[in-house]
Parts: sequence; structure tokens; C-alpha cells
Amino acid sequence: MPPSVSLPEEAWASLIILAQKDSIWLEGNILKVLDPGDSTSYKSYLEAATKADKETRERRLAVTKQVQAQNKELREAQEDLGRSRVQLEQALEKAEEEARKAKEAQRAEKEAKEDIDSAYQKAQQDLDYMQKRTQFELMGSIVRVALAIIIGVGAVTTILYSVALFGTGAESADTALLANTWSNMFGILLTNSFSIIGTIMGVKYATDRREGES
Amino acid sequence: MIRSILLVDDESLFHLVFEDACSLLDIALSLEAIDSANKAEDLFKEWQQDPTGRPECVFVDLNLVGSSFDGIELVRRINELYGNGVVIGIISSSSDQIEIEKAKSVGAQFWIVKSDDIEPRLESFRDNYQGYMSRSAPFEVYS
Repeated sequence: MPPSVSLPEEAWASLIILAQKDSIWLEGNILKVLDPGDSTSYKSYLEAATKADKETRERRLAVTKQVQAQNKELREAQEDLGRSRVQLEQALEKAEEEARKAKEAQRAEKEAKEDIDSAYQKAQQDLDYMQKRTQFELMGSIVRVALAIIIGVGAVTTILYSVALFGTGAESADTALLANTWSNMFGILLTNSFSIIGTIMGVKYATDRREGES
Repeated sequence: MIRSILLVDDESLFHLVFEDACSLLDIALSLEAIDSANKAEDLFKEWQQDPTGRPECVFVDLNLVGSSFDGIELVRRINELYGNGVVIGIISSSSDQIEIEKAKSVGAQFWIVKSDDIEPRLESFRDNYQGYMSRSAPFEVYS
């Protein structure tokens, strides 16, 4: 059983006048323990005060619940924000990582390009070397063949001319034409020889100069 | 009607909600609300020496931010060290079955799930209160 509190008549009268004049009521759990006795006016006062108290509490409860709900929403929003921040930071880290990888790939590409250029230059140098070697070999062959022809033709002509000069019946032979022929041919052969050597020297000089310019 | 209630909850707004709900439902004559398990333990230590003002029923929140132990540990300490027959249970927004079993094992008599609409749960609790007083009512979850 809850405790019961009795008030003197003067106190009840003051409370009732206060309520009537200024609408000020007792409130809270004190209303649950006040004993109105048999007085209908005290009972009416307690009923009215309890009703006013309940209305006030209902309003306060509604507002408190609303604030509580808003607080909950705010907390959730804050948590969402925290989660978003974490996701954003992760995305940023990922982007930075991707950028770093892209930079590395770019550097690797540059290095590969340099390697390719270097290999290309080396291949070109090898090709030039091969071409020159082939050219020199070809020139050597040409020179050898030309010299062989010149020497061969010179030797054969000289032998023929010697036979005509000093061989049997040489006194009666007319060697004037042969002498002119031998002389002309030898001149031509010598001219051609120097021409070949000059051409080769010229080609060599031109090739060296072009390489120096490039 | 419960003569006096002690609410241990770290959320001060819930103190107001609980107080108004209890008043509107005529559940308790007096209600004290504190926000820490440590403060509750200190109070129970004092009430061991002088039981004046000791509550009849205690509602404990599960997670008490700022306390050195949680609600279940407080229930255990009150029951084993200081309680002396006080009706005690958990009031929490959680309904984790593992925690509920833990609370039961340390002597909690009820578990009330906090929500926006807590009044119907408190009414059901009020209806069963005499059973908790006499230790005859089984453990119940009000959700």
C-alpha cells in the first residue's frame, strides 16, 4: 500500500484558491499519496491536478521522445558520415596507389622505349657496319678483278709485242701498228686503273663525310 | 504500484522518458535515475549500512558508457553482494540472445527492450511485478 499524506484544511483551501486564481496545481508523485478524505472538493482538486499533471507529462513525453528520435537520427547520420569518411579515405588511398602504379608504368614504358631506341640504334649501327663491310668486300672484289684484268691484258699484250719484236722473223715484221696499239692500250689500261682507284677513294671519302655529318 | 525505482542508464534523455512513462502508467511512486554503474554500486554499498532510501526495483541499461563495467556485471554485483532481494532487470535497446542469457545467468528477472513505444512493455512488466517481488515469476523478455 502506498503511503498516505493528509493535509490540514487550511492547506487544502490555499491549494484550491491558488488553482482557481492562478491555475497553479500540485504536480508529480505527491498527488499519488495525498489523502483527500471524504471531502468532495479535495477529491475534485486532486482529480483536476492529476489530470493537469498527466497532460503536462504526456506533452513532455512526446517532446522528449521526439528529441530522442532526432538524437538517434543524428547519431546514425554521424555514423554514416564516419563510414563515408572512411570509404572516402580508402578511395583516396586507392586512387593514390593507382596513380603511383600509373607513374611506375609510365617510367617502365619510358625505360622500355629507351631500350627499344638503344636496340634500334645498335641494330642500325650493325646494319651500317654490315653494309659497309659488304661494300668494302664488293669494292675489294671489283679492285681485284679489275687489277687482274688490267695486269692480264697488259701481260698478254706485252708478251705478244715482245714476240713480235724479238721472235723468229722479227726483222721482217711490221711492228709499228702493234707498237701504237700496245702503247694506246697500255695507256687506256693505266687510265682505267687510276679511274677505278679514284672512284673507290671518292666513294670512301664521301661515305666517311656523310657519317661524320649524321 | 512500485514504491521506488532506481534507473541506471547513461542516456539522460531516456531518464525523462522513463520517468514520465512510469508516472503516466502509475508504475512507481518515486524514481531515481543515475548514469553510471559505479555510482549505483556505491549507492548499494551505502544501503548495505543503512537501507533508508534503498529502491524496491532496479532497471539497468546493458551498455553504460563511462562506467568501468557493464549492466550485466552490475546486476551480478547487486544480486551477489548488495541486493538483498531487490527486483532487478535489464532495460536495453539490444535484444541479443547471448546477452539475454548472460543476464539471466547472473540473476536478472526481466529484460525490457527499449524502443520509441516503451509504455506497453512497462504495462506488461507492471502486471507481472508482484510475481517478481515474490520471486515466483519466470524470467521474461518484453520486446
